[in-house]
Parts: sequence; structure tokens; C-alpha cells
Amino acid sequence: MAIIQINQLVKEYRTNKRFTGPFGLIKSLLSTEYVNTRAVDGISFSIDSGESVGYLGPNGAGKSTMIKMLTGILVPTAGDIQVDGKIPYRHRKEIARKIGVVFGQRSQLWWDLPVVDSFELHKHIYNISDSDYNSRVQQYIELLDMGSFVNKPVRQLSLGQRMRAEIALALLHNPEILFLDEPTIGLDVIAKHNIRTFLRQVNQETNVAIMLTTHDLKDIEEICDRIIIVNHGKSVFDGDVHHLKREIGGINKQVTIEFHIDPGEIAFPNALLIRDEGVRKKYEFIHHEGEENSLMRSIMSIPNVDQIKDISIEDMSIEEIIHKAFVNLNQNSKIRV
Amino acid sequence: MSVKLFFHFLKIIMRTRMEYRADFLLGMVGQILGYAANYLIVWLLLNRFTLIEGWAWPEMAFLISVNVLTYAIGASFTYSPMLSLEQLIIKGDLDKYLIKPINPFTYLIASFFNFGYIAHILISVVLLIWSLRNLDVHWGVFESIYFMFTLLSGSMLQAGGLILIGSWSLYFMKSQFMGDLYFKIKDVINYPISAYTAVIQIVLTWIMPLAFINYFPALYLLDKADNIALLLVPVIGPLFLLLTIFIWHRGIHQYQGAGS
Repeated sequence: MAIIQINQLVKEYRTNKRFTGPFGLIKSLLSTEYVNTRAVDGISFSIDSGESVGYLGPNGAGKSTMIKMLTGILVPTAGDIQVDGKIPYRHRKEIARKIGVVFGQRSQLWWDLPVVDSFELHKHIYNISDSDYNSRVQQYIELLDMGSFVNKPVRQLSLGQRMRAEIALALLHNPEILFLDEPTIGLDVIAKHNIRTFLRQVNQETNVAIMLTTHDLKDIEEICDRIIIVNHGKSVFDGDVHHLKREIGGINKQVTIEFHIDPGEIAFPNALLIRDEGVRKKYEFIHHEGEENSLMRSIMSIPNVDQIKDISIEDMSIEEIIHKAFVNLNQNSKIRV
Repeated sequence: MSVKLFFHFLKIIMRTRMEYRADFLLGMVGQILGYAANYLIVWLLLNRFTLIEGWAWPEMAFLISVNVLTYAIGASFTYSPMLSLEQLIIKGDLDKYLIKPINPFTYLIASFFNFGYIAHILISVVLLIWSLRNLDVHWGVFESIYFMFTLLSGSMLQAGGLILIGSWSLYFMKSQFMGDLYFKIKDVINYPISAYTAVIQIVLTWIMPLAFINYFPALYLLDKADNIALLLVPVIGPLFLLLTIFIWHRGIHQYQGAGS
């Protein structure tokens, strides 16, 4: 059953036109001309209850705008939008009971007070019964390992601890959908991993639908079954994560190898040489399904392996993935816009 | 929002305030000194001239005290939320107030309730009682009820003025200068408005109805005028408050349409 349904959704922002040139400032001040920018440009999708969807895109792709329209904060310019059968901005308060929202960059906890005080207030705002409240708080303290800090003021928590508390808060009223806007932003590797594992677990155990925005593909790989990629307000890809990897031929890795002395030309059967600066060489290793460890084996097998000073391995950036998705999907004419 | 929930917010805010006890107490001392200076200026003036537009010192003290007291009551509710609104919008924090199953207006009022006006209330009530003891007012049941209602109405007018500043930021993002302007203007009613030119009197009565906070009630209570219309003074506050809340809600719709 679809819990979110949007069709040809558009959001335009109107800003004053800015002029440049010698009198640009005065012209900008007096002008009544406007520039319309489309943050969301005719996107359609539907999400079933219990699904976990990652909404991926570079900065300025219209991810937050989408979350704001789904939560009823913003009114769309055009198109249809329904959450749990209702139009969010018209039935904002009813929708609020059905959804939980986590903003990665802004806290909904009371900064100076212990975490439990924010939970307690949340209980009163949402009229949660004592028994439900107590059992859920207990459950989330255990699940999110919050025992050591629920009685500490929020201002003393680390970012990772705070994010766990934010997520628990958003789940206290047992919502049907959990929206997360950049939940792992600024977290270290371990904290990121913990949050991802927890979200996956919550999604599977409580059947709450999860929709999260991110520009970190790893978030989606570890939490979500389905991925929607957006760029310039348009949907570039909508499908399951494995499907995406197949379509774009896997997530390639970029490997930079630095040698003590120039070893001359080195070629790998499963990699392309991108840049050769003598002692420093950069390759793109092509991903093949089922051969995840071929990269290390290839590197270890070169004759000058003892001359290696440093190796760095990077995932493809989101821009490269989008570019690849565009090119490959266009070729296969499976692009859904 | 239920009264019970509102009190729960107050409890939380009080606990936050108590995290910074010294700051809270110092703030109170500062306010008392600040307002004492306000009274002092008028007292010094009257020491020299004895009357301003036919108003003697105890009458002036009554006028100022009603202004400060109603401001303190009104501002406890609306000062912090409405003057924080500009920053909430610019930083995008207003979104947090739009995703809860309660009205965003009452949610803001409740989460920004300001206990800091206790000092204002203290000094104005002391001066009010002193002035009333030195004034020859006949306190019947009707006068007492009338006075209670004018205080309530005045607080609503003060609260409403601040709501308009908040609404301004919903329409135009920036409201800092409106706030500054308001604080320049709000003390003009420390003097009887008959002391000003006709234009200002009209403005203070019909455009920014600040004269209904203390001047008109004082005319009636201190027997300075005998106009039956003065009995209608207590209805101005509730009407003005409703109007400003309506404007604020129009503003929030505008915000939701335009986005940040």
C-alpha cells in the first residue's frame, strides 16, 4: 500500500533578480523583476509502507525541498502530493502525528536540559500514553545504547550521541514514516556506522517506512533497498540499489599509488590509468560483481610492490555516479524523468 | 494547545533558566535599574514643572506603571518568539515548529515564554500601588473590574504589537529595524498623549492604538474626562490581538508558499 504518492511535483522559488554592472546594486534594489528557480521539477514516485528509500543527489538538487513538501512545511507550486492519503500542507497537524522528522543540521532537543526532558515534553505534545512512552523509551535506550547519556544535558553530548537521541525522539510517537534529512552529516566513521545499523534495524523490526536524503551513497547502501537519484530537480534514477550498480557497472574505485622511485609503466587488467606522474599513478578500478577483492590482489601482484610508499582508495563521487547513471541509462533508454 | 501542555512548557523553560541562575538574577537587577531610571526622568521633570498637561506626579506614575506592567505581561508571551522569528527564518529553524501536531503560533509562544519580566512586574506593581494610594480614586466594584479588564486589554495590545513585528519577518524576512522602531515608540505613552500634536494623537489612537493601553483608561479612572465611549476601552485589546494573530497566520502561509 502506497503511503507516499507524488505526481509531477514542482516547487519553484522566486527570488529578486540581481543585476551586475556599474548601477547593478541600485537596479537590484528597485527592480521588480524576478527569477524563478525550479528546485523540484516534475518528480513522480510512490513509496509503500515499510519501504526504505534513499534520496540521493548533490548539493542543491532539491532534496531538502522534497522533504519539506512531504512534511507539510512547504506548499508545492504544482503537481499532486499525498502522504497517508492526505495533502500534507492542508492537513499538517494530522500528518505530523504520522511522521517523524530528523534534521541532521538542526537539533530538536532542548540544548540545556537532559535528553529525557525533551522526550518527556514530546510525550505531552503527542499525547503518548504512559505505558507506550515508558516501553518505547526503554526500547530505544537499549537499541541505541543511550543509557550512558540520557540524563546528560544535550550540550554535553557528542554529535553521534545527539543524533541517536534525535532519532529516538522522532520515533517516540510511533510514526508510520520517518524522514531524515542528511542524518549522518558531520559524523565520524563509527558513529555513521552505528546510525546506519540502527536505522536498518528499526525499519525491519517496526515496519516504519524510511526516507532519507544524503549525498553519501554508503548511507543508502547500508540502510535502503531502493534509491532515487535526483539532479537539478529531476529524477535521474529510481530503482533498487543492486539494479543501480548493475546499470552503471558497479561502483568503481579510484586508486592512487605512490612509489618511492618511478617504477615505469604499470598496467592492470581490471583498471584504467587516469593519470601518470611517474612516482604517483592514479587508476580507476572497474568493479565486477563477485570480485570485490580483486583490487587488492591486483595491487599486491605488481613486481614493484615493495616500492609502494602510499596507497589511497576512494569511492566514486556522487557527481561521477550521476554522470554515469545518466550516460548508461540513456544508452539503455531506461531513464525515468 | 491545552493549558496542561502550556504549563509543561513553562516547567521546561524554568529549568533551562535555572541552568544559568546568575545570568537570570543579574538580568533582573539590570531591568529594575533601567526602569527606575525611566521613572526618575519623569519625577525630575515634574519636580521642576509640577504638572505635565495638567497631570501631576502620582498620575504620571500611574500612567507609566500601567504601560510597564502591561508590557511586561504581554512581552512575557510574545517578545522572545516574535523577535527571534527573523533568525529562525534565516537559519531555517522555523521548520521545526511546522512539523508538530500543534499550532505553530502557540508552539512558538509556549517554547519561548520569557520569565525575565518578573523584574518589570515587580517595579511597576510597587509604583502602581504607591500611585493609587496617592490618588483620589473611588474604587467601587465596577471600577475594579474595569481596571482589571483594561490591564488585560493593555497586555493584549502590547503582545499584539510584538506579534506584528514577528509577522513582518514572515513577509519580508528582516524585521530588526521594525523592532528597533517599536522600542523607540513604545515609551511615548509614558506621557499623556494630549501633550503631543494632533497628528501623533490620531496615530496613537487609530493607527497604533497604544493610547488604549494606559491613557484612555487613566482618563476614565482618574476622572479626567467624562466620555461614555471610554467604557469600551477593554474590548480594543482582544480585538487587536485577534487581528495580529490573523495577520501572523497569513504570514506563515506566505512563508510556506515561498519557502526559505
